[in-house]
Amino acid sequence: MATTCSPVREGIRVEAPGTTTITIAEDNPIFAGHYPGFPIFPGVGLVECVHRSALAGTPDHRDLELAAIESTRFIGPTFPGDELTVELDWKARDGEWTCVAVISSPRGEAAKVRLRYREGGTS
Amino acid sequence: MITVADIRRVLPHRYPMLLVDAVTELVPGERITARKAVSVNEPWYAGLPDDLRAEQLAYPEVLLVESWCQAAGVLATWTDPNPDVLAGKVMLFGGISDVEFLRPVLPGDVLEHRVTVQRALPDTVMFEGDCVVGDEVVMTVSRVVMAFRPAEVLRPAPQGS
Repeated sequence: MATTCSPVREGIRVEAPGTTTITIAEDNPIFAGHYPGFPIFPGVGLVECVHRSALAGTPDHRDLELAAIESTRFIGPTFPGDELTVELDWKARDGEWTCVAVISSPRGEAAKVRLRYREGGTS
Repeated sequence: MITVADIRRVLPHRYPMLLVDAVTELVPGERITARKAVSVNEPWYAGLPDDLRAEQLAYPEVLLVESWCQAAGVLATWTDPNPDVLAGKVMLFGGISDVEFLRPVLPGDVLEHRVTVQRALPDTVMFEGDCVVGDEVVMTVSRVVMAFRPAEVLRPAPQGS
Protein backbone atom coordinates (compact mmCIF):
# COMPACT_ATOMS: atom_id res chain seq x y z
CA MET A 1 0.00 0.00 0.00
CA ALA A 2 1.14 3.51 -0.78
CA THR A 3 1.80 5.63 2.28
CA THR A 4 1.19 8.92 0.50
CA CYS A 5 -2.05 10.28 -0.86
CA SER A 6 -2.84 8.50 -4.13
CA PRO A 7 -5.94 7.39 -6.03
CA VAL A 8 -4.08 4.14 -6.82
CA ARG A 9 -2.99 2.67 -3.48
CA GLU A 10 -2.66 -0.88 -4.78
CA GLY A 11 0.67 -2.55 -4.14
CA ILE A 12 3.42 -2.10 -6.73
CA ARG A 13 5.39 -5.30 -7.32
CA VAL A 14 8.90 -4.73 -8.65
CA GLU A 15 9.42 -7.82 -10.83
CA ALA A 16 12.84 -6.79 -12.17
CA PRO A 17 14.72 -3.50 -12.55
CA GLY A 18 12.45 -1.43 -14.79
CA THR A 19 9.46 -3.78 -14.64
CA THR A 20 6.56 -3.61 -12.21
CA THR A 21 3.12 -5.15 -11.99
CA ILE A 22 0.04 -3.80 -10.27
CA THR A 23 -3.42 -5.32 -9.96
CA ILE A 24 -6.20 -2.75 -10.09
CA ALA A 25 -8.50 -3.58 -7.18
CA GLU A 26 -12.15 -4.05 -8.00
CA ASP A 27 -13.01 -2.05 -4.88
CA ASN A 28 -10.78 0.91 -5.76
CA PRO A 29 -12.94 3.97 -4.82
CA ILE A 30 -12.41 5.45 -8.31
CA PHE A 31 -14.87 3.01 -9.85
CA ALA A 32 -17.88 4.23 -7.88
CA GLY A 33 -17.73 7.46 -9.87
CA HIS A 34 -15.88 6.48 -13.03
CA TYR A 35 -18.45 5.56 -14.06
CA PRO A 36 -21.58 4.50 -12.18
CA GLY A 37 -22.69 1.19 -13.72
CA PHE A 38 -19.69 1.13 -16.05
CA PRO A 39 -16.40 0.92 -14.16
CA ILE A 40 -13.43 1.81 -16.31
CA PHE A 41 -9.96 2.75 -15.09
CA PRO A 42 -9.23 6.38 -16.01
CA GLY A 43 -6.25 7.48 -18.09
CA VAL A 44 -4.87 9.47 -15.17
CA GLY A 45 -4.98 6.23 -13.16
CA LEU A 46 -2.57 4.73 -15.69
CA VAL A 47 -0.32 7.78 -15.34
CA GLU A 48 -0.43 7.27 -11.55
CA CYS A 49 0.59 3.61 -12.00
CA VAL A 50 3.63 4.79 -13.95
CA HIS A 51 4.41 7.51 -11.40
CA ARG A 52 4.26 5.10 -8.46
CA SER A 53 6.25 2.48 -10.37
CA ALA A 54 8.85 5.15 -11.14
CA LEU A 55 9.14 6.17 -7.49
CA ALA A 56 9.50 2.50 -6.52
CA GLY A 57 12.77 2.32 -8.46
CA THR A 58 14.38 5.74 -8.99
CA PRO A 59 17.94 5.85 -10.38
CA ASP A 60 20.42 5.31 -7.49
CA HIS A 61 17.45 5.56 -5.08
CA ARG A 62 17.25 9.31 -5.62
CA ASP A 63 14.55 11.34 -3.91
CA LEU A 64 12.63 12.60 -6.97
CA GLU A 65 9.43 14.58 -7.39
CA LEU A 66 7.19 14.83 -10.43
CA ALA A 67 8.00 17.92 -12.50
CA ALA A 68 5.94 17.25 -15.63
CA ILE A 69 3.85 14.85 -17.63
CA GLU A 70 5.66 15.28 -20.94
CA SER A 71 3.38 13.08 -23.00
CA THR A 72 0.76 10.38 -22.79
CA ARG A 73 -0.94 8.22 -25.34
CA PHE A 74 -3.90 6.12 -24.28
CA ILE A 75 -4.24 3.04 -26.45
CA GLY A 76 -6.75 0.65 -24.89
CA PRO A 77 -9.18 0.63 -21.95
CA THR A 78 -8.42 -1.04 -18.60
CA PHE A 79 -10.94 -2.44 -16.14
CA PRO A 80 -11.32 -3.44 -12.47
CA GLY A 81 -9.21 -6.49 -11.65
CA ASP A 82 -6.77 -6.02 -14.55
CA GLU A 83 -3.16 -6.89 -13.83
CA LEU A 84 -1.09 -4.14 -15.43
CA THR A 85 2.58 -4.44 -16.35
CA VAL A 86 4.71 -1.28 -16.47
CA GLU A 87 8.04 -1.23 -18.34
CA LEU A 88 10.12 1.83 -17.43
CA ASP A 89 13.26 3.37 -18.90
CA TRP A 90 15.10 6.22 -17.14
CA LYS A 91 17.25 8.85 -18.84
CA ALA A 92 19.18 11.73 -17.26
CA ARG A 93 18.75 15.10 -18.95
CA ASP A 94 19.94 18.55 -17.86
CA GLY A 95 19.92 17.71 -14.17
CA GLU A 96 16.47 16.18 -14.40
CA TRP A 97 15.26 12.65 -15.07
CA THR A 98 12.91 11.39 -17.72
CA CYS A 99 11.00 8.17 -17.32
CA VAL A 100 9.48 6.59 -20.43
CA ALA A 101 6.96 3.84 -19.76
CA VAL A 102 4.71 1.41 -21.58
CA ILE A 103 1.74 -0.02 -19.67
CA SER A 104 0.11 -3.24 -20.78
CA SER A 105 -3.10 -4.88 -19.68
CA PRO A 106 -4.07 -8.51 -20.34
CA ARG A 107 -5.49 -7.25 -23.66
CA GLY A 108 -2.30 -5.60 -24.89
CA GLU A 109 -0.77 -2.12 -24.71
CA ALA A 110 -2.86 0.29 -22.67
CA ALA A 111 -0.78 3.47 -22.65
CA LYS A 112 2.58 5.10 -23.28
CA VAL A 113 3.64 7.76 -20.78
CA ARG A 114 6.67 10.04 -20.46
CA LEU A 115 7.22 11.71 -17.10
CA ARG A 116 9.90 14.18 -15.98
CA TYR A 117 11.28 14.33 -12.44
CA ARG A 118 13.40 16.82 -10.50
CA GLU A 119 15.45 16.21 -7.39
CA GLY A 120 13.31 16.42 -4.27
CA GLY A 121 13.03 19.83 -2.62
CA THR A 122 14.09 21.86 -5.67
CA SER A 123 10.65 23.14 -6.75
CA MET B 1 -22.44 30.83 -11.66
CA ILE B 2 -22.74 27.34 -13.11
CA THR B 3 -23.28 24.98 -10.17
CA VAL B 4 -22.38 21.34 -9.65
CA ALA B 5 -26.00 20.48 -10.56
CA ASP B 6 -25.35 21.86 -14.05
CA ILE B 7 -21.97 20.13 -14.19
CA ARG B 8 -23.61 16.80 -13.34
CA ARG B 9 -25.91 17.27 -16.32
CA VAL B 10 -22.99 17.42 -18.78
CA LEU B 11 -20.32 15.13 -17.26
CA PRO B 12 -20.77 11.40 -16.54
CA HIS B 13 -18.30 11.51 -13.60
CA ARG B 14 -19.67 11.12 -10.07
CA TYR B 15 -18.34 11.06 -6.51
CA PRO B 16 -15.46 10.56 -5.80
CA MET B 17 -14.31 11.24 -9.37
CA LEU B 18 -16.31 14.38 -10.12
CA LEU B 19 -13.55 16.90 -9.60
CA VAL B 20 -15.14 20.20 -10.64
CA ASP B 21 -17.21 22.12 -8.07
CA ALA B 22 -18.33 25.22 -9.97
CA VAL B 23 -17.82 27.18 -13.18
CA THR B 24 -17.31 30.92 -12.88
CA GLU B 25 -17.01 31.75 -16.58
CA LEU B 26 -17.87 29.84 -19.75
CA VAL B 27 -17.69 31.09 -23.32
CA PRO B 28 -18.83 28.14 -25.49
CA GLY B 29 -16.20 27.04 -28.00
CA GLU B 30 -13.68 29.39 -26.47
CA ARG B 31 -12.83 29.23 -22.76
CA ILE B 32 -13.88 28.22 -19.26
CA THR B 33 -12.84 29.07 -15.72
CA ALA B 34 -13.76 26.44 -13.13
CA ARG B 35 -13.13 25.83 -9.45
CA LYS B 36 -12.37 22.86 -7.31
CA ALA B 37 -11.82 22.96 -3.55
CA VAL B 38 -9.27 20.35 -2.50
CA SER B 39 -10.22 18.60 0.73
CA VAL B 40 -8.59 16.09 3.04
CA ASN B 41 -12.07 14.57 3.13
CA GLU B 42 -11.54 12.81 -0.23
CA PRO B 43 -11.16 9.02 -0.24
CA TRP B 44 -7.51 9.21 -1.39
CA TYR B 45 -6.70 10.41 2.15
CA ALA B 46 -8.29 7.42 3.88
CA GLY B 47 -6.13 5.30 6.15
CA LEU B 48 -2.85 7.18 5.78
CA PRO B 49 -0.27 6.97 8.58
CA ASP B 50 -0.33 9.69 11.25
CA ASP B 51 3.29 10.81 10.85
CA LEU B 52 3.28 12.13 7.26
CA ARG B 53 4.87 15.41 6.30
CA ALA B 54 2.86 18.08 4.44
CA GLU B 55 4.37 17.16 1.06
CA GLN B 56 3.28 13.55 1.56
CA LEU B 57 -0.27 14.85 1.92
CA ALA B 58 -0.11 16.90 -1.29
CA TYR B 59 -3.00 16.40 -3.66
CA PRO B 60 -2.01 13.79 -6.29
CA GLU B 61 -0.78 15.52 -9.46
CA VAL B 62 -2.82 13.19 -11.64
CA LEU B 63 -6.04 14.30 -9.93
CA LEU B 64 -5.08 17.91 -10.53
CA VAL B 65 -4.82 16.98 -14.22
CA GLU B 66 -8.10 15.04 -14.12
CA SER B 67 -9.86 17.98 -12.51
CA TRP B 68 -8.50 20.38 -15.15
CA CYS B 69 -9.53 18.00 -17.92
CA GLN B 70 -13.04 17.75 -16.50
CA ALA B 71 -13.27 21.54 -16.70
CA ALA B 72 -12.20 21.20 -20.33
CA GLY B 73 -14.87 18.52 -20.71
CA VAL B 74 -17.58 20.87 -19.45
CA LEU B 75 -16.45 23.42 -22.02
CA ALA B 76 -16.30 20.85 -24.83
CA THR B 77 -19.74 19.37 -24.19
CA TRP B 78 -21.68 22.37 -22.83
CA THR B 79 -23.76 23.00 -25.94
CA ASP B 80 -24.24 19.31 -26.83
CA PRO B 81 -23.87 17.21 -23.67
CA ASN B 82 -23.92 13.41 -23.55
CA PRO B 83 -23.54 12.33 -19.89
CA ASP B 84 -24.11 8.68 -20.86
CA VAL B 85 -20.89 6.69 -21.29
CA LEU B 86 -22.73 3.71 -22.74
CA ALA B 87 -24.29 5.28 -25.83
CA GLY B 88 -23.64 7.80 -28.54
CA LYS B 89 -20.34 9.62 -28.71
CA VAL B 90 -18.26 9.61 -25.55
CA MET B 91 -15.47 11.97 -24.67
CA LEU B 92 -12.11 10.26 -24.28
CA PHE B 93 -8.82 11.53 -23.00
CA GLY B 94 -6.77 11.51 -26.22
CA GLY B 95 -3.46 12.61 -24.79
CA ILE B 96 -1.46 15.11 -22.80
CA SER B 97 1.58 17.13 -23.86
CA ASP B 98 3.76 19.00 -21.40
CA VAL B 99 1.84 19.48 -18.21
CA GLU B 100 4.19 21.07 -15.67
CA PHE B 101 3.73 21.04 -11.90
CA LEU B 102 5.12 24.17 -10.29
CA ARG B 103 4.24 23.67 -6.64
CA PRO B 104 2.38 21.13 -4.51
CA VAL B 105 -1.36 21.58 -3.91
CA LEU B 106 -2.58 20.92 -0.37
CA PRO B 107 -5.98 20.36 1.22
CA GLY B 108 -7.60 23.75 1.74
CA ASP B 109 -6.39 25.09 -1.61
CA VAL B 110 -9.06 26.21 -4.06
CA LEU B 111 -7.98 25.43 -7.59
CA GLU B 112 -8.97 27.75 -10.40
CA HIS B 113 -8.64 26.05 -13.77
CA ARG B 114 -8.28 28.34 -16.77
CA VAL B 115 -8.90 26.41 -19.99
CA THR B 116 -8.80 27.74 -23.54
CA VAL B 117 -9.68 25.93 -26.77
CA GLN B 118 -6.54 25.74 -28.88
CA ARG B 119 -8.07 24.05 -31.88
CA ALA B 120 -11.41 22.35 -32.57
CA LEU B 121 -11.99 19.69 -35.22
CA PRO B 122 -15.25 17.76 -35.69
CA ASP B 123 -14.29 14.87 -33.38
CA THR B 124 -11.27 16.24 -31.57
CA VAL B 125 -10.72 19.33 -29.42
CA MET B 126 -7.36 20.58 -28.13
CA PHE B 127 -7.05 22.71 -25.01
CA GLU B 128 -4.37 24.68 -23.20
CA GLY B 129 -4.22 26.73 -20.04
CA ASP B 130 -3.20 26.61 -16.42
CA CYS B 131 -4.34 26.18 -12.85
CA VAL B 132 -3.90 28.84 -10.20
CA VAL B 133 -4.33 28.91 -6.42
CA GLY B 134 -4.80 32.54 -5.39
CA ASP B 135 -2.34 34.36 -7.61
CA GLU B 136 0.12 31.48 -7.84
CA VAL B 137 0.29 29.22 -10.92
CA VAL B 138 0.49 25.62 -9.72
CA MET B 139 0.24 23.85 -13.10
CA THR B 140 0.62 24.77 -16.76
CA VAL B 141 -0.92 22.72 -19.57
CA SER B 142 0.56 22.99 -23.08
CA ARG B 143 -1.96 20.68 -24.68
CA VAL B 144 -4.70 18.24 -23.78
CA VAL B 145 -6.55 16.42 -26.55
CA MET B 146 -10.13 15.22 -26.08
CA ALA B 147 -11.52 12.85 -28.69
CA PHE B 148 -15.17 12.09 -29.27
CA ARG B 149 -15.63 8.45 -30.24
CA PRO B 150 -18.46 5.89 -30.39
CA ALA B 151 -19.10 4.39 -26.91
CA GLU B 152 -18.22 0.91 -28.22
CA VAL B 153 -14.47 1.70 -28.18
CA LEU B 154 -14.61 1.45 -24.37
CA ARG B 155 -15.80 -2.15 -24.41
CA PRO B 156 -13.31 -4.95 -23.81
CA ALA B 157 -12.42 -6.55 -27.14
CA PRO B 158 -13.82 -10.09 -27.54
CA GLN B 159 -11.34 -12.85 -26.73
CA GLY B 160 -9.09 -13.70 -29.64
CA SER B 161 -9.57 -10.45 -31.54
